Amino acid sequence: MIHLGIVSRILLGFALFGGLACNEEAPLSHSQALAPKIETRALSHKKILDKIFAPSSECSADAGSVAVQLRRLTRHELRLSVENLFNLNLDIEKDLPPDESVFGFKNNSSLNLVSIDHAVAYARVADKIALAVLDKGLMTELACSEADGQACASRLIQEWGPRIWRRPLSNAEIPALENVYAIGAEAGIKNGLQLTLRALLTAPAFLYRSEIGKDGKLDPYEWASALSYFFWSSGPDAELLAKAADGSLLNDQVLAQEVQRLLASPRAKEGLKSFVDSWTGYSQVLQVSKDMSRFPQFNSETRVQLARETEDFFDHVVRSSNGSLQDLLLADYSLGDQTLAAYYQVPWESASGRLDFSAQERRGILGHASILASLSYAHETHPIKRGTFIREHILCEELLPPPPTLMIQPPPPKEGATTRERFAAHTAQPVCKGCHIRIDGVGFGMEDFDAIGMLRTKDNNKAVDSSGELFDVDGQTRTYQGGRQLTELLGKSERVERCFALQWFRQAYGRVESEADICTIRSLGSEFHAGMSIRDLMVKVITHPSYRHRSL
Amino acid sequence: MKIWKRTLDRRQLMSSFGSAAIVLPFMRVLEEEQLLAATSQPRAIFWYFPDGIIKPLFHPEGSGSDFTFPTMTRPLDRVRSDVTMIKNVNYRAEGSHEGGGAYCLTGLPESKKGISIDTFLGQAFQASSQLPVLRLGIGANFQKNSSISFFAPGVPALVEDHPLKAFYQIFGATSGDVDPATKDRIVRGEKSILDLSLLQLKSLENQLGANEKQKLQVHVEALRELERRVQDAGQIGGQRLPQCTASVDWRGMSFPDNDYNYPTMEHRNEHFGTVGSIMSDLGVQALACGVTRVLLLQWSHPVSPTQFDFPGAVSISRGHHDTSHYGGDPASSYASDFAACQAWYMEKLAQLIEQLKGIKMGDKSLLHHSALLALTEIADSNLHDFTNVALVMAGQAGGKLKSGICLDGRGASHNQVLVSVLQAMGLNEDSFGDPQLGMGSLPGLLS
Repeated sequence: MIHLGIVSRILLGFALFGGLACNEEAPLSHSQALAPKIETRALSHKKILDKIFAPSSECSADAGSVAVQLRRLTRHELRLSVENLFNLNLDIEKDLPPDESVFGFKNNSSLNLVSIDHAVAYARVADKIALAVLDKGLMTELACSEADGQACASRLIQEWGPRIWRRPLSNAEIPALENVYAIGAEAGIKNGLQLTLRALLTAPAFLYRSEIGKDGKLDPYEWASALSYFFWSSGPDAELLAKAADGSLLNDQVLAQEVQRLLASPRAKEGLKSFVDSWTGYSQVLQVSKDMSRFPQFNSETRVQLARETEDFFDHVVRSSNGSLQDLLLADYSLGDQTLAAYYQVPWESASGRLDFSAQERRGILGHASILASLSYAHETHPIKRGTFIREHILCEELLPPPPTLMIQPPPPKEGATTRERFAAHTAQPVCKGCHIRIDGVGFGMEDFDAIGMLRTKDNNKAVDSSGELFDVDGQTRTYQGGRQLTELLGKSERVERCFALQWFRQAYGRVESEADICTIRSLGSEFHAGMSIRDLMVKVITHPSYRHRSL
Repeated sequence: MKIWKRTLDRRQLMSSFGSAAIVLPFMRVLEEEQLLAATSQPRAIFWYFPDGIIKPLFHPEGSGSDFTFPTMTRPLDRVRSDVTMIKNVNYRAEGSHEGGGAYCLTGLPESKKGISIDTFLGQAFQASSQLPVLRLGIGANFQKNSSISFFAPGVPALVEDHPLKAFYQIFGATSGDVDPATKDRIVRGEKSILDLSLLQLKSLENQLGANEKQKLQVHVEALRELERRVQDAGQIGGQRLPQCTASVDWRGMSFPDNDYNYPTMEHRNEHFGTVGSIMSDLGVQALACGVTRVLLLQWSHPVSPTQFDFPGAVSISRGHHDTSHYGGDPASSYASDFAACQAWYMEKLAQLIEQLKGIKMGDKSLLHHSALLALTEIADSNLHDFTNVALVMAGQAGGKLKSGICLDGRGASHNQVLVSVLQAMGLNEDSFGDPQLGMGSLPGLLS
């Protein structure tokens, strides 16, 4: 008889997402017929989306999910938390396991578990941090001397414990920490402090932030962390924790001031980076494979600059100019330096760092090479990837996987054909059309931009055809010509606005929307659609009453 | 040639991982040379390659011991007596690459979530292994969009892509000999830290009721395993074979701690082949040194971005997945491009088989005592179907597996292949994954 761990015996309700998509009315295949019939993840999610975007609905004001959850920090959040806690810039992110993402969101709590690989990595990273903190003069800061012993440990536990755990310590925790110190201190005070720091930094209270609530609402400390991780991707500072401690954070006026303070801090750029990466996946530009013989300019430095462009631009639109979604999508400029201007082949203004796109087809964030290059093959564009991205991330559609019975037999590739011709041949068959009419009509319109996001007029020595059809958006189908017109259509779309509000919901709540969230998301979407800056939307999402309602 | 020996000095270690390296002083095990020569423990190896095959170019003609290898599998000809080529076995998966990836080691369709067979076997041998499972990748996380190994139901497992981190994971580190009193203090210290964490998890469990219970349980399991490793450090001995050197040829590469280039060293396309060889060597050493009995070696991932123009490959600058869409005609030049990529993988498989065969285990070889299963997530790379998938087995699991044959599965389910692996490893299991998708072992595979 083999003893199996708990892990194998329990069935978790965790969802794994991913995959392309198609037709929903498909006959059962052999394999499906054998399996017990269960609704696929994609289909049930599509039904929720349909309700969120339906023209009308019956929503009551106080409806909303009260789901409690434990949110494990992403490795990005963990690094920033450490950086802000100890004023220490340590490259610990690569020492931690990469985070899984759900619809692009790495802060989705359903897959953020602590495996043995995590536990080992946390132990090592915590030790690295503890050493660095001690090297930086922790003993001096705590006014510890070798003779101090337990008193020194108490100061560490009392002063640093609540900061690291973002809440006060319980009566049971203090002796447990003192015990850690005592054992470590058998080899000297420093060793004792190091071990205590490790205990603090590997504790669930540091690794997770809870959203459990008390009497139906997040407690003030949970609320402080919710705010700081939303705006900063990092833990609360002393000021925010103080407002949790005296309870003033529960006062609407104080809350409003704190939110503005958090948004004004330079740390807010990190929160925006986290969102824009979930939404667009721009940071893939740092990894995406490119044929370097064809695109020698796409080197490591360029990749970094292109990523920074998107981060700077997003921050600029949201925080510096209090801009709207239209500003984000339709801007005829971006931000960068002279090398980036040379890359894009556009005029550059040194004072403002503006790249002038007015004479190009390129508009807004969807014209950023970081995104366009990420959504391409190594040597050519990938209209299907681009189209799928617009459908899933910009329009919040759920594209269902092709039915297992569908035998896709695309014609062989043809010499001398353009990328578009190649892909059009793949999907021209009626059986594929039902789904690809949504994808290709968008993806083909972005053919003005090559595999590294450069403007082009020729592909394989033939003129680029970037005509497209935006099929079935807001109940309409429109044809257009090129990337600029496509973004203009998207910029005017109500669906795009409502989708953007939904994406912020996912970022804030750390989970995929459920049936119970429909009314909350509809109301956020309606307010945003009525005219609101992105910054105001962010505030609305996190301060929405439903966010703080939690109940077991 | 730069060789990192197991005896690294403390300064080098600190720069990489800090002194918590002491937490897991695996090396003591090896230094104490605990040889369990009496029993030969079988090893399981799961060897993944991406993006499917072209069936007529992969499956041999013929059956029994009388068969011929076509283009893609020709490199296996030289190890033909050690492999079993399985044809006419089907995946019962859903969707496309991602669905096949989710199924191939779990035996479950993507919509039902489970753990993968590597995790399952790791749990079965947990008490007697330093590392229950070792998962090594070559770009397995590079532009990853789906996974094949799951440590908890539906939750992807970490596959280590970084050779230096893998080295430390396998061989750990110690600052040298630790006297019993120091070891006792270290172990008590580690346990006091775990006790604090467990205290908090318990308190959270009380607050959460049934909610998020699984998340807490998974965390507790992880801490218990950590505790076991701390407790057992220096005590559990795997079966150390003569060729265990606990060192690896780094093939002229070094992996800086602070690598700010994009992509990073281990993920650069031009290093794909070299990193692959290093990782294979590391995996073989881990098995030879008895560090683990379950190895997953994952080359890239479903929808692979690898460009096969790195040194030692063929000159194809298109991405692997792009190349895999050969258009449906096995005789086309597009098909021969893809065949060349997959044949490269099969050459690597043949090399691994030879390596395992070269390691003595009693009067036989490590290969003889292993059950190796090579697979990919879909069948035809152009159609994305799941029938007549690519499955290669190697090794005899100590005599439990047949080899040197081409086996016709007659439409059996891949779940039966997974069951066969479990049985070959000595587990008395009748099903794995979803029993409704196939029960029992694959007829003709076990001897």
